[in-house]
Amino acid sequence: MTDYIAGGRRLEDVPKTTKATGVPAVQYAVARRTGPPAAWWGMLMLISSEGVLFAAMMGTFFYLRFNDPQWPPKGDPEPKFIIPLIMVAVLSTTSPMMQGAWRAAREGRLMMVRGLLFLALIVQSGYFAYEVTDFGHEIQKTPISNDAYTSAHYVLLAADHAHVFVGILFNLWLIWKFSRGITTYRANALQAITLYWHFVVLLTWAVIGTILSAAVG
Amino acid sequence: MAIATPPTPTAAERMHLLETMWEGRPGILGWFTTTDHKKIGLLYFWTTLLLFGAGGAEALTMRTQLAVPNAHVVSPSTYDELFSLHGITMIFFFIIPMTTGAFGNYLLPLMIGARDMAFPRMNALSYWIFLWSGIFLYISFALGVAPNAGWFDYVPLANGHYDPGRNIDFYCLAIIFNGISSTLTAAQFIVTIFKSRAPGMSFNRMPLFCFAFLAASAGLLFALPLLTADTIFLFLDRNVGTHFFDVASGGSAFLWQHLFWMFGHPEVYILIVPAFGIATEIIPAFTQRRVTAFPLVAIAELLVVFIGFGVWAHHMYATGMATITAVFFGAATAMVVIPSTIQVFAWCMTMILGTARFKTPLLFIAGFIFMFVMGGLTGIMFVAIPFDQAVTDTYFIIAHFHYIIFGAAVFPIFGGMYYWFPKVTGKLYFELPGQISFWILFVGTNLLFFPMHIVGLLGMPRRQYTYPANLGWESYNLAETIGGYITAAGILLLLGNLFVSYFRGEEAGPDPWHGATLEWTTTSPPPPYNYAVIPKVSSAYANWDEEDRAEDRRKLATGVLVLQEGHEQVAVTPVDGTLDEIVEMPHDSPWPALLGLSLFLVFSMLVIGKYGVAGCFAIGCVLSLFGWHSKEPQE
Amino acid sequence: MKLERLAVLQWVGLLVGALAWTSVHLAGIGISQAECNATGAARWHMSNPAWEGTVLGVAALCVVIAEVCAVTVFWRTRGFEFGDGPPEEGFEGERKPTRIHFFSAAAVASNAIFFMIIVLEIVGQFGNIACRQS
Repeated sequence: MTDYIAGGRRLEDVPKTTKATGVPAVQYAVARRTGPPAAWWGMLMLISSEGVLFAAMMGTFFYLRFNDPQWPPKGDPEPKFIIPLIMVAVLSTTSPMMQGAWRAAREGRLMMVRGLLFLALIVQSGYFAYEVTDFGHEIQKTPISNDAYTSAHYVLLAADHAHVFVGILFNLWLIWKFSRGITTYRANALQAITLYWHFVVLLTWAVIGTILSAAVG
Repeated sequence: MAIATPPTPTAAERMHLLETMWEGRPGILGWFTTTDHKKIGLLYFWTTLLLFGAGGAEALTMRTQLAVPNAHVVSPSTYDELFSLHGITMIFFFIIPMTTGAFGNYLLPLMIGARDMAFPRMNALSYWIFLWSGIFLYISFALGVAPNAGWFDYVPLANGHYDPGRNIDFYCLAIIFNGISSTLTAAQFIVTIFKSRAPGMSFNRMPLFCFAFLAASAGLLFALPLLTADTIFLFLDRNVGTHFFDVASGGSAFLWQHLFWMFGHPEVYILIVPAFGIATEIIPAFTQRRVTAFPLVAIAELLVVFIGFGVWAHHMYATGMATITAVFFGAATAMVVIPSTIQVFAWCMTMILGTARFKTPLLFIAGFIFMFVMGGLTGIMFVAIPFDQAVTDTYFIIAHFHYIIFGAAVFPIFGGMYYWFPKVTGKLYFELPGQISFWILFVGTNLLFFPMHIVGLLGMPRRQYTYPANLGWESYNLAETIGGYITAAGILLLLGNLFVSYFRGEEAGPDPWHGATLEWTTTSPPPPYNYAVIPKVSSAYANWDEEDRAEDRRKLATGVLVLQEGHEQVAVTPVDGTLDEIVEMPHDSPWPALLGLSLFLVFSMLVIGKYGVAGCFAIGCVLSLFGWHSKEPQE
Repeated sequence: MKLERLAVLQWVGLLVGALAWTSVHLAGIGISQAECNATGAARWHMSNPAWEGTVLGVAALCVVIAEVCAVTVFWRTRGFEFGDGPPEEGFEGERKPTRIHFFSAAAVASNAIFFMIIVLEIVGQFGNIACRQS
């Protein structure tokens, strides 16, 4: 009785998405779906939670700033402008790469998916490697235990870098999975992880903006 | 009428096939690897009961210490640990896991017509993290280094200078550890409610219980990270040398309070809103009437949590903040009572207009309404800042929040235990001992908590391990202690009644109460697959829609929406419940239990300062996650 | 009015009031801190009545607009039950406005509450001596 209508939709039109493996089946299944899958919603929940965590950290930065007549306090260096902005712009290029990979997955272009994921991984890893090295140099010169400013500054940066690292792990997993072909499960994961990377890019802009605000006013 | 017996031989074959596909591994291994929301709910239930016992023992010990002036039942430092652990245990390790983990896990998929949660393995992970976080916390008690600065752990008392031992490190890490479990549960519930409802169950046809759990889950998701940030800062201040809360180095002690209460106030609504959901299902069943003003009750459940995010500094009126800032919190605090009032009126009107049968579950709900209104009345008094400043940190505050928490959270939990006992066990409880347990608890809790109002107004401060004689506090404290023991007796009678009923109660059948929601359409206890056919839903009172239930029996005979080609479940669009896809769900898995254990090892190493070893175990966690996702649901 | 337009108005009614109150509540706390905090007072020189009056007034207007939308949708869908209408199953593509009616009823109540909170906050601004310790 596939002409049965359940919840406003004919049963025969409803895809059995998880069973779809291989390019044509996955393309068909994903196209017949009207909304994002549960994986995407789950990722939205994760980034909502992490977003609030970062809002708390950025709020803390500003709260402490408005309690302190001089910010950064005497003895702490002013934040650098040019290189952090260049680096976050570089990281931002991964957003269209991930979005392109998801689009290619929907269109069944597996080689393009693998290529874009690999390219994104290179950019993300390069960004991460530079940032971790720079973080190490900074913290050796000006320790975290100096005062409240250095505490908030380094914890905010470290949390952001940790989220970039988690994203890199996600991408490594995706590259491994897509090297073995495509299933709807993997396509759903790619859609969710693309959302994660959009969040991380926006977050990094917000974090850098917060850090650089110490040099203003 | 429930599908308790298959209508045709073909239907019987279908149900048998579903049974074999959905049943888990047998024995102990089955419990360790289960992803069945019902089994996970039962695991939560037993674990939280154990922790409730621990929290209750802490309370009784404190009450015994305070029964008479100048007592020496426990030392002052032990008393500090007792009141801290009592608060932490009851809030994080009893009420939240009992309401969300036990009731929510067991009932939510059943109420929305689903076969399981949206992410079954993550559901199991939530439980294992919860269990290990409880063990982690109580290891601190066993080692004599339990948290000792209160459940809200203010700095500077909690910083490394004034509390140099491992006590507060255990506090910070236990809170973060437990918070992961609750965050995962919250995300799970929201996605399950959005995506896994039966087709046709648009939001206006969703039971009010589900609205309550949606509200509580949204509250948890947005509030817990604030506490996580706060405890991370404190842990770093104590162990790494940061200065978030160190005033001399540009930090702020108020920062702790702001972040804590930004979490803490939504938290109290998170505690009581699931209980509102329980009440909102018991009342229709025992009045055989739909809840009055359904959309207003639904939005009230969401609004009370939403507005609750904006009132946090009413816990800080005594800190000397500017009046003009306090105005915002006072305004929102005054108005946040309105959604709760809407619900109270709706419940009362439903009971008045319906035919109320005061069986034990409804008795507990009536008791809940009484105690919640009492607690709410004292709560609204705190909007007046001068009054609030006079009673801050006195027993008046303790009276208020215990009326709210015990009355508005624990009473519905007890009522819910009785109400859903037949569904979970297939047996009826004994009614007379049930009613007696209610009255003992009602008398006991009022005797325990009401005198606290008076002794608080007489000036008795909270968190004092003893008090001198001749201040006029003795008789009130003695009465409270007697009330505490009566309450304990009531709880033991309740649990004893359920225990004996499990072995000796009459067969309940699928629907002993003629309840309103979908769980009463399936067998008691429900089969592993919950529903042989994904139910047709036309209203929020699906069990009362006879035509739809008849349609389900016809569909079972013809195989429509039986989804027997695998471990299948439907997914719908979030708002209107339009059928969107059919998805394969994962089977049982050992990875959640393994990952929970790995996380426990990470936190154990962090608390003793072995950060490198913690990092190694964290790598183990990452490898567990890779292992978890190596096998896809359809494989 | 077409169902699609009613659906848009329903979401406006449900969400705009909540967003307006949230924004003004957080902004108000921030502005009062900026005015009364030692560093803020020296640096920002905010005029509380001017800033708060403007911000709260705009928020009140947004809540009123949201309420008008909610009431409009509620009135135009008044013939439908909140959840007991004919089942959507069996009617492919046909949408009944029961969900819209339900959310508009909820929005009518929630916007009224948000409006009252904003009114109380406005009263607090005028009746108050700024930066006095509470």
